[in-house]
Amino acid sequence: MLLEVQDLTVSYGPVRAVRGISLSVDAGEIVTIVGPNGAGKSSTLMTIAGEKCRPAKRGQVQVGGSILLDGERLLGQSADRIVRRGVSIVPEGRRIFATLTVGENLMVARAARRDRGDAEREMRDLIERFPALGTSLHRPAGHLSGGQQQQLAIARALLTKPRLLLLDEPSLGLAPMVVEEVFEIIQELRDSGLAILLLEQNALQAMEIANRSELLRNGRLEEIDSGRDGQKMLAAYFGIEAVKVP
Amino acid sequence: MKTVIQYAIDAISSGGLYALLALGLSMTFGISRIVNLAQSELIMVPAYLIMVTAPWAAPLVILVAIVSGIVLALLMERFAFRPLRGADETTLLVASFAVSLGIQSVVEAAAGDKAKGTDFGGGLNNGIHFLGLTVAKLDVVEIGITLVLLLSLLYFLKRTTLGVQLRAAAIDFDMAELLGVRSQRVIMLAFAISGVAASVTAIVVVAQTGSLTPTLGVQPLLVGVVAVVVGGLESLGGAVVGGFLLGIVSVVLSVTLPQGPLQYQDALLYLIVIIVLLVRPQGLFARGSALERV
Repeated sequence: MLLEVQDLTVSYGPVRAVRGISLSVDAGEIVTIVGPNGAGKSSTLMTIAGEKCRPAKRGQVQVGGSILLDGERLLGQSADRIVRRGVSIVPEGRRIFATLTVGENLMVARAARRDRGDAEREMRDLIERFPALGTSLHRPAGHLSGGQQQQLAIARALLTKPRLLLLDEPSLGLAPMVVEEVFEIIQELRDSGLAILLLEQNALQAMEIANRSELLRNGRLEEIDSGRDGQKMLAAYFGIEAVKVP
Repeated sequence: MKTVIQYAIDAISSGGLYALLALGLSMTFGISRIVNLAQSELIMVPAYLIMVTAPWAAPLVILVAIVSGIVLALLMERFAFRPLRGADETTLLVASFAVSLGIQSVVEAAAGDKAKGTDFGGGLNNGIHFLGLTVAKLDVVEIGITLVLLLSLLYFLKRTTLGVQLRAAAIDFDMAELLGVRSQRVIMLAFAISGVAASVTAIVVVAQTGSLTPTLGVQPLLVGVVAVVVGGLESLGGAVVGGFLLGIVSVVLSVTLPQGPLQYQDALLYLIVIIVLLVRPQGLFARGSALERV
């Protein structure tokens, strides 16, 4: 397994957001974690990315358990080191640098790269893959549409050359057609061999493309059967009536 | 015509200096959320070193001043602000005030609180004649230094990978780190740049006044803070424009006000600043946030 998380706990003072979860993701596989707001999904993802272990968060966040990438310990490493190990994140709300141009946003993501030549070539490939970015390279990223901003956030993450991509609510705030497009991109990335950990409130759509699905509630994980029973359980949990079963 | 050009030179020279100071302040604020009041000591300490080294060749004096500004800024970062990383902005502000007072007291104890004089830059007081105009050499040097430094900084921030990383970190520090930007390097770089900006201010102030006191950095710092607040604390470009605006408005006031109200020039300038802030509390050029788009 590429990513192995064991008994991960994340607490904010007396509040335990994540209560001992274990999960694994392998190369060429999408694992999705679904669950309601406040279930601890983002805390899990941000901890894997190293965000919760920043010096600035010391004393505010307590983290326990272990996170291994290809057998190497990630927990306790700084976020920029974790990126260099091959973990990249597309955070909730995209968090593009709105006043920087699209090109400059991509340039920032090359910080972690030593192979300048390869990074340059990959950037050209990404611009071909996302033509909307290519035509807006010199425009402020804040002027892009929501879907284009999401493409930029994904392209930026890919430019760091990840082995594991963490996606936090990539469909949030996007029009349905754009959501379809984003999900297509995610599947293509998986097919190219990337390991993907996907968080989605859009649970059913995420489960359709995922190899495995986990439900996170009250800080604990429960594996969901991808068949009809699992979807029924999920539908009941979220109060959704129409369940699309593959 | 002559006088208009002279006023324009005044506006550019003081505006450029304010812009430089504002850029240094805004950079450290963007990266580490510190309104670094101790920037005044990054002006004062190099100024005293200029006095001490004044007999040396001018380029060497300037080099010592700039290196001392950078070193002091990095020491502040390492020993005062790094241990406080993650603290709230009020704590950081109080800490920077403490650092400022601490350094002032040390210099006061070592050099006394009486004003000291130096003739550094004394040779720059005579004029240069061109096109029938007489311009003080000092003005030409001041404009030259500040503009070259500002333009190189802007080039660095706009065109180099490290500069773009620094701007990204000033917008969203955590996100930049999540993309692999080395946070410690960027923080030190921002402090070093603020040290350069402050030491260049020291060079200009000493050459202009030839007089030194342990509080000599306070007035330029105040003007820098005002420029940064007018421009928008979080916008590097806004800080530069804020600095130039302050320089221009200050010259316009000094030219247009009749003799009586002229003594209230500074009060009027700050009144204008207050009015600007009442209309746009976020500053004139506050950064645009990522628009919610679908």
